[in-house]
Amino acid sequence: MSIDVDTARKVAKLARIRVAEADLPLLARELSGILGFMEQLNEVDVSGVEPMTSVTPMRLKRRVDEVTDGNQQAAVLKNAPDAREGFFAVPKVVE
Amino acid sequence: MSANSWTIAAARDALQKGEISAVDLTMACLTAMDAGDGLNAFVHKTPEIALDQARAADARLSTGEAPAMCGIPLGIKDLFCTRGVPSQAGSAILKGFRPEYESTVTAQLFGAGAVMLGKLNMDEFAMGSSNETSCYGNAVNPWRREGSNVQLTPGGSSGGSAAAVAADLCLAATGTDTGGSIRQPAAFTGIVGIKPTYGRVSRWGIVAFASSLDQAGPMTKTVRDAAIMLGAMAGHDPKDSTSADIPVPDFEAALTGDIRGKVIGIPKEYRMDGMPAEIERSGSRALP
Repeated sequence: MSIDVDTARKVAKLARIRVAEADLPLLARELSGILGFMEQLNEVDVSGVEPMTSVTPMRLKRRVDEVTDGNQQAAVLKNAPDAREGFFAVPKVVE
Repeated sequence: MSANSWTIAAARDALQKGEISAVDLTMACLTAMDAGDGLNAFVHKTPEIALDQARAADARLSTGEAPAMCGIPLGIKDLFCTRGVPSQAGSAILKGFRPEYESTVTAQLFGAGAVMLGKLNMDEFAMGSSNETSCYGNAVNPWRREGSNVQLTPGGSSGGSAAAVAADLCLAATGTDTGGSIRQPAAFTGIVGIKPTYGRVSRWGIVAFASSLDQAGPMTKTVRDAAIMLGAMAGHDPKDSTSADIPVPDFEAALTGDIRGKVIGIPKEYRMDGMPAEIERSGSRALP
């Protein structure tokens, strides 16, 4: 699979990154290169190899479903560039 | 020998015997830190916090029951969230961010009495191996080529940590390693760094790069120091579900010098095409 110029243009639009028309062929080539690297993984013979999710033999911990923390609104919003009425205020992004 | 150039082990013994105070040891490091500005290793300095912590450490030492890291001045990689202190991960995107919380690793170190001198330079979001992608500018290796004054890279991403420890600006530093970010800068600057086994150290409060690979570890002047500091950093943390719920052994006690019967694997990929002969020689000298 490879990424053509139209797909690159669409991906850039979705990511809200401005890419000049002249730069699109290079971007498409580089994105295709990444997919190429990923396809190399298919060359590895993994038959008979147990799937591994962790280097340590342990089950993922589960905690009791209960409130452990709270009343941190001021701390949570402390670093917000703009906060209003207890919410993060952000520029409108959905058209 | 000025106290900032001591090892953790030597400083621990001197502090516990009362031969030096944590405040004096911290002052020596703060002086060295300022004199080392040319390395661009420390990017946010916290001398007030350091002296407060040092005074508290002295009070604790005077009771005769202080842990090994009590009063030890450290540099902290900018990737660790430190309460009230800029934590930018080397990026301008996080400029002005002052966390309202403390990472588990730094909380454990400070809980053990360690002193924070400031935050250390690094590649932006830990993505780099030369400390040249930092919003603070390059960190500089204190070493030079023989007969040359050209500035060399300390490696990365923990380049500020490596430069600061190699130049004796602090006794040790925290680093993080996803794909070599402790080990490679440690090698570039002639210090000791270890990437612990995944799960040994909590990742909570450390800006993530690749969550299934990131680990924090010590960057120190000796192997013994790495063992002492790792002991204070390691341990299970309920806030990191991938941290290993197994006891932390006494790493320092394991340094018997006896490695008979151990099998040590060296990945053959470590030997690369085009590797300079002197590095090849130096590497093979370490092997039996």
